[in-house]
This record gives sequence, C-alpha cells and structure tokens, in this order.
Amino acid sequence: MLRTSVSRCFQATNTALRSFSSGKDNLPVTRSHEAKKIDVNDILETKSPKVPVNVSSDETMDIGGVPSAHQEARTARIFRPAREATQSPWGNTKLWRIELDNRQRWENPLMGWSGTADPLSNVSMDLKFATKEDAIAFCEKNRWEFDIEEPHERQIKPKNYGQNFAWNRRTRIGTK
Amino acid sequence: MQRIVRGVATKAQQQRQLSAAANAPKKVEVFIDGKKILVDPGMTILQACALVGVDIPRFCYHDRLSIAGNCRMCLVEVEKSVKPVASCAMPVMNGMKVKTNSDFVRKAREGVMEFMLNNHPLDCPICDQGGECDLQDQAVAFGSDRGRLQSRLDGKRAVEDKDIGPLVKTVMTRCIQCTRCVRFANEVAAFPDFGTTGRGQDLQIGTYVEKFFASEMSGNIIDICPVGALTSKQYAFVARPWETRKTESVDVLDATGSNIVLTHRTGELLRVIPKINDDINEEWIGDQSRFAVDGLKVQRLLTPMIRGADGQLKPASWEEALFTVAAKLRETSAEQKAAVVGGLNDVESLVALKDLFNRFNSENVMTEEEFPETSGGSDIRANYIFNDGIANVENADAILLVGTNPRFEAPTLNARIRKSFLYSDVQIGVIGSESELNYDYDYLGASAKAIDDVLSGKGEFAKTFANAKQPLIIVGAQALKGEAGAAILGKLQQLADKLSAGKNVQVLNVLQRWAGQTGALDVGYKAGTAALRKTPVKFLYLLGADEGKVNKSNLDPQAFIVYQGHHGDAGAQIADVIFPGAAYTEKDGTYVNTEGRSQRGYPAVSPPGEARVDWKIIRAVSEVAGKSLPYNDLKEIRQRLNEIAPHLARYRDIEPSPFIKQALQLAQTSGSIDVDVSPALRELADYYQTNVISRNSRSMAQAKKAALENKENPYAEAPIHARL
Amino acid sequence: MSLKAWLGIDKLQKFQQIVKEIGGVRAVLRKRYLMDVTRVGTLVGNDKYGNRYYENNEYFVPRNRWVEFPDKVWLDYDASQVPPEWHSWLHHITDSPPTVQEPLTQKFSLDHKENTSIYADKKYIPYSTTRTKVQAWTPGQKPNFD
Repeated sequence: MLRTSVSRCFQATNTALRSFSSGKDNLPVTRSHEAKKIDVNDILETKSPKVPVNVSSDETMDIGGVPSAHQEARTARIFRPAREATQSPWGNTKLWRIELDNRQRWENPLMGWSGTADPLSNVSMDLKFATKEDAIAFCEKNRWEFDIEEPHERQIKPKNYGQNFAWNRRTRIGTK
Repeated sequence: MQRIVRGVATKAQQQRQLSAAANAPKKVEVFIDGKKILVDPGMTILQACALVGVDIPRFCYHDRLSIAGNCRMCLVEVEKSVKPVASCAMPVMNGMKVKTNSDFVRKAREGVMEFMLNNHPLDCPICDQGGECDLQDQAVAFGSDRGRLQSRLDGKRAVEDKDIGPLVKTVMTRCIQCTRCVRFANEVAAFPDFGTTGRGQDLQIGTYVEKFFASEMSGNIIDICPVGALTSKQYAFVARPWETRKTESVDVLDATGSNIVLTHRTGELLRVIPKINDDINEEWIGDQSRFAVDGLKVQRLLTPMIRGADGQLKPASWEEALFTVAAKLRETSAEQKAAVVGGLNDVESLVALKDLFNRFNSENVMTEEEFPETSGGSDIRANYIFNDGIANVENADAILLVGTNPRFEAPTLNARIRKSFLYSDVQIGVIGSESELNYDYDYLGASAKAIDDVLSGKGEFAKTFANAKQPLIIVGAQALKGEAGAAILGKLQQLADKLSAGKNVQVLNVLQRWAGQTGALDVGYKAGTAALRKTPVKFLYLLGADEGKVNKSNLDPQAFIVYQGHHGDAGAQIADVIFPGAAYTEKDGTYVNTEGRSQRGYPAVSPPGEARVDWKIIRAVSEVAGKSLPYNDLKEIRQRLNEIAPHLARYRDIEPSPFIKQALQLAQTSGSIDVDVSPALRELADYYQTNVISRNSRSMAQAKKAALENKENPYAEAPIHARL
Repeated sequence: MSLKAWLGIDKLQKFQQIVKEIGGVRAVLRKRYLMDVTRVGTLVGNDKYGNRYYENNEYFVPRNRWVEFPDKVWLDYDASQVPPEWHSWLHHITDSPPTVQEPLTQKFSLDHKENTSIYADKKYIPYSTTRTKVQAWTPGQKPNFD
C-alpha cells in the first residue's frame, strides 16, 4: 500500500510539474497510453538495389601485399565440405569453400609455437561461397589454379520401421 | 588451367537408377510445411523432409542403421493426429500434411530435450564431444532456456564406466540411451555382445560382463555416439573441434581407399575420422585406419643416413646422400639394378622411380606383392582390380570369397557384404579358412580345389551360385601367388566367364591388400620379387618396402641398398643409404584403390625433420645422376601421370576395364590348384599390425594385446588393456 | 673558520695523509685507475674471492662502505662478484657485516657465481626440455610400447 501511494504521488508530481512548464517550449508530451505502434518498415529507408562492383583481377592481386612466392603457383581446391562424421546435421555442407595447398609449418625454436611463411594459410577458414561459380571467380581473380570437386550429394534410401519385425528377413531385430 | 574432377555415376549406379525408374511405385504426395513433394511410398517422414531440405533434429535415427524411434526428438505434427508423430519411424501416406515448426512441435522438442538433460551430467568442459556434440547443438537450437530439475532434492543418476578396450573410452553417465551403438554393434559390426541391460532410468548400455569390443569396426561407435559417452581414447583431452583444421584425404592402410578427414592443428595431426563416400566406405573406416596415425610420430626417419665404413648408419646431409647414390647408380650396369616398392606409396613416386630406372635402361622395377603373369598378367587391367565396384556388392545375389578374409583385409568392404547380407537374401560361400565372419556362409574348403567343384556345379552352393542373377567372386591378391596362383586365376576367369554371360556384372573381382599395388600395376611395375633372385643385383632401391620380402641373402654380397621411406623398419635396417620420405598424411598423392578408382590425398602436415616428398627426392637423384627427369612441380608430374594412364588424372571415377575375353584366352587353366588358400589374417589380433605405420603405433599394439587376451579368456577380471 | 680551512690547506693535508696510508704516489695512481676514487677506510673483512670490504664513516651514508676487488680481476670487476652475505652489508640492507653476525645459510645453497651472461662461452642459452613432436629412428631401435 505504501508502494502504490508513493507511485501515485510520483505520478501526481510529474503531472503537476508538467503544468509548470511554460507554453514557449512546445515540446510534445507523450503519455504512455497514447503511444502508437509504428511498423519498422515505415521508419527504415527503402533499400537501394546492390550493384556489383567489377574489380579487375590485376588490381586485387597487386594491392594484396602477399609475397609472390606464396601468391603465384598455388592450387586451390573448390569443394563442398563433407558432413562431420561425429555429428548428424547437414547444415555446414551447403556452402562452397576453397582450400589452398598446405604449405610448410615448422616449430618456432623460441616457444615451440607453429610458424609458417604462408600468409594465405587461413584463406579457407571463413571464406564461403554460395555457388561454385563464385568460388571459381574468386580463384580466377587471384590467379590461382583450381580443381573442382563435384559434391557428393546425400543419398536418401527409403527405410522403414517394419523391417525390424519382418518374420522372414534377416533385418529382424531380436534384441534392443 | 582448371581441371574439373568429376564424380560420374558408376555403371552400377546408372543400372540401379534405370531399374528404379522402370519399376518405380507410384509416388505419394506429401505436404511438408506447406511445400508439396512427391516421394516413394516406402519413405519415412524424416527422410521426406530431408529431401526438401528440412533437417529434423534426432538422436537415435541414423541413415545407415535400423530405425529405433526411442529418443522422441524427431516428433512432428501431422494434421489430424492428436499426438505428435515420430517422423523417423512413420511412413509417409498420401496427402499427409506435416508441420515441422509449429508451436506444438516446439513444445514437444523442448519437453524431450528437458527430459534428456535431466539426467545428463554437467560434463561439457571435460567432455571430448564438446563443440561437436549433437546434444549441445540441439539443446541450444530446440531446447528451452530453463529446466525444472531440482537437483538438490532429486539428484541425477550416475552410471559406471564400462571397459570395452584400449581404443574406445566410455563415460556411460553421459549416455542418453539412443541405442545407436547397440544397433551398430548388432547390425554393422556383428558384435552382438553389446546391448542394453535394465529398463527405464536404469537402462545401461554395455556388454554386461566386461568384455573387449572385439570388432575391427569398433572405432565407428565413437562417431556414431551423439554425446560424449563413447569417445576415442587416443584423442581424449587433446583438442576442441573449433581449433582444428580439417583436410580431406584418402586412407592407404588398406586397399579400399576409404575417404578420411585428417584433423590437425598447428602442424600436428590429431586424429582421423571418416568422410562419407557412398561408393566406397559409406561412413565407416576400420580401426587401423583410424587409430594407427599415432605411429606416424615415432620411429620416423628424419635425416638422410649413410652407412659408414664401420657398418653403422650415421646421419648425413642431403648432398652427401644424393651424391653417393647417384654415383652408385651410374656405376652399376642396367641388369644389376633393381627397385622394389612397398604398398603405401603414391603413384607420383612410383612413376618417378620407374622413369629414373628407365632412363638408366633398366626395367627391373617390381612390387613386393606378387601377382601371376598369366592371363595377360598386369597388362590387362581387369585381371587385378575389383571390377564390379565396391558399391555393387550390395546388389549381389551370391558371393564367393576365395582366399580372402575381407573382414580384416578391407573392413569397409566387409561392412558392405554384411549390409547386403542383412538386407537381401545373398548366399555367401568361402574357400579359405573357416574364420569368424560377420555373416553366415557356406564353407567350401581350404583348398582351391573347391573352385573346380563350383565350376562343375557340385554342391548346394555351386547350384545357387550358378543360378544367381548377380554373382560375385572376390579373390584375395594373396591367393594368387606363384604357379598355383596363375592356375587359380585362370580357373576363376573361366568361372566368371560362364557366369557373366548375359548379366551386366564382371563377376570376378580381385581384392588387393595394399593401397599402392593397383597403382603400381597400372603404371607398369612387375609384380613379385622373383626377378631379383634370377640375376645378382648390385644396386637395389627400396621405396617403402618393409615387409621383408627382400633380404641381403637374395642379393650380391656387395649390393648397395638405398631405402626411401618414412619409418625405420626392416627396409631401413638393411640399407646403405637412407632417404627420409613423407607419409601419406604429409604429401599430395594420387592413390588408386582396389577398384581402379584414382583418388587424391592432400597433405595435412609437413614432412618432419629433413624429410621430403618422395617423388621430389627421386627427381633430385636423377638430377645429380645426370639424367634429369622432365618434371619440376606437381602439375608437371601429374601431366606425366596422365600421359602414362589417363585414368590417373580422372579422379573419383571407376572406369570399366575391357579385354576380359582376351584375358581368358591367355589364361592358364591347366595345372594343379590343390593349394591351401587360407588368408594370412584369420583373427582379430592379426588385423591390428599389418603395415609399417601400424606396427609402430602404440594404440594398435595395445589393441592387439587386448585381442589376444580376449581370445584366451574373454571374461578376464583384470583390466584388459595396457595403461592409457 | 681557521686560517688553514680558509686557505684550503687542510684538504691538502688530508690528501697527504691518504697518500701516505695507501702507500705512495704509484699506489695512489694505480688505485685511481682501478677504482676511480682515492679513498681509505677501515678494513672490515675479506671474502673467499679476495674482495676486500672497507668502511669509512666520514663519507655520507650511501658512500661509506665499499668493496675493492682483487688484482686478479683487474678491470673486469663486476658488482655480481660480491657474494650475498657481503652484498647485504655493502648495500646497507643490514648493519652488521658477516664477520660480526654470521649470515643464515642453507644446506642446499650453491656457491656464489658471478653473472656469466656476458661471456659468450659461459652464458646460458635457453633450450627446450620437452619431447619432440616426432621422434626419430635410431638404427636398430625397435618400437617401444610400455
């Protein structure tokens, strides 16, 4: 009861204070029960269509800063990753990826950490492509040779629960 | 510049598609989330959803195992049904409307997940499956954000860990009783001792009396288990999946060329897991392929070595070693040179070695494994490959195994035979040893004489075989040794010819034991080391030849032996100069499997120490010896491979081999075949250490010990494996 | 101020006294060359390396205790050649030198060694004590699974 009376007091003070404001400000006073819901799309600007920017292959190559020993003569493998054997979902197998040839890694003598001279060793980590053609375009832009592996599509062979109980077939399961 | 590698449908697949189209049942119409699709009536709702692209969460359902329907996570709402329906078990019916994401379904999933987590221990930080755990991912995606378990008052159940061997680690408290491992053990691995005990909350999974999981496919239960109840002992506490990189490659420890994924991190190989390839290994790999990789870290050849005047091998520099070998190569005459290759080599190094020897006018290049020279020998490809394709084993009506134990020689092929045994009425006959196989078979005898019986139609099995629509003969490469081997091959080709009339199978299939053998025979190597014993050899180049087929007594007393390989084993012991090469996980290689399918392996880690990629070493030898080979990088040597045999550049395809009739004409059908064709690998303990990598592997040594102890006394009370 | 002090003669007299105590002009020059100072004090003690420790409370506190290194080291003297028990007295960490109050030592203490990191042949270069990731084969070695 104390709480409600305090809040009522509070509301009254607010209203009272508002009445003390001079008319010069003309600020809109919104009360919570008057708030109207506006659709998000009314507020956002209309999306302008995305225009692809054409970048010539020479340009990207030269400004990259990768030493030529690790940019030339690389072979890329374009593939769709296999499903992880340890899990059942197929979500990670949908996008195309590029993997470059693995270059030498050695043990750094100071701390035993793994060192490599190859600045492109992490290219395959987050680079994913929606289609094979996008991946090919990327490889061509970087002047890498590429091999494309056709993906193994998932084969779904019909199964049925009844074969566990078939009286004349070897698929009959006697135990759990 | 680009090279497209195709995965064209094999003949078997095309044949299946045609037959499927010809007698396809009428498709039924199903609406999934509003989308209409037409499916075959034998499918379950879960499979129909997968066709549309909707992945329904599940724990107990697995594509390759029978349906259990006990996890209840796959519940979906079907119109007109009051209860939610287990989509993994319910077959589709015409006009069914399925909703996979309605509020009802969501509530069901949250409920199931809540129950599952109620008894699940809070082991995520110490569980190996963290990061690749189905339970974690599905709890985040489909579970609710809070549970109602009063763990202070009710507690959680705990289960004792079961000891099933030195390879698989069990923490049974984490088990969610999905029974995938039980179904795998019963159906695929044929180890019926793995099962469930008790009911309800007290259900425990294990062997009841502590037993070793005596199966060559035991490692696959690690992949199958959706939670961290069954994990790899070798990989325990090593890494988390998000910090590892995965490189897809090919396995060379057996001849099927199973596809694998090498998991590595900072230049260190951590584990090997299978990659799905429906044509070869489905989703399985054998234990050797999975666990023997720890042998790649010990007993490695890291520097070139030269045997000094005192008879001891000492480390040397590459220049010294190369110059020594090149000098000797130039000195000896062509007839006194020979090369022997082992079974784990990639085709690039085989081609480089043959080219090197050819440039010195020598044709004396041979493989350790023997193969007869009759029937056209290794000139006619159909003689030495698995003609019908591994995938076609599923369609066979009758299988005759001659002199082979596919269970231990090619576990993934054996899994297919087992699959065809379960799902169809295939009859299997074995000529060889009466060992324990995963399926019932008719034992026709140990001597190859039984082939005559089958040829003439004597006996039950012979009649079934003759009347089968798709018969298959699988003969092990080991049975085709020597004189008798030639005769056996001839007789089998006769039998195959008789049976394949009018059918679209080749019938005769040879199962090689070594991954490098088919490639070597394709490229032009002679099979067998008999040629060595004819003329005294002064210069011998061993490329990974560790099976002890060659020893000093076969050669000239002053013979100079060069060994190029990656482990110090029998070959390195007798060598005068050692070149350290790279193992299969460390080099780009082309490997041809026993079906004649050429596949590419990719390197995950660099060759250790001073070791180098094999074909580059041979190229360096050729340069120093004065007759440089014309290729300098991988592209060029692959072009050379393409020149020799175009199928070596066409990856992932099988190509049918012609000239079978000609092979039959050249076949030797006379001669006695009354030899014992029992295969060398008869029991599980024999399986674990068959090649140089697995002989040096601690996991495999422990497994072999456990298998031997298991044979003696399966119910031993003492711990049945060495320390971790 | 006395006349001597005013003219600065008492400083000269002091210097004469110091020269006499050190033992001649040659000795003074030698000491100056080696130590960069010319001062005398009471000998407090020696240590087993030949260092001599002096104290002269006429100088202000940080500079009243010093060490003279033996002729053996000549100009290669180094602060780390002072052993720990004398170091604490020399740096005013403690009041009494080791001759008056025995320092606490332990059974396991090693002999004091100077800082050798400047000598290329004696300096410590860190090395890995872990097992290598890939173990090499030595001829005749069989795999060891224990």
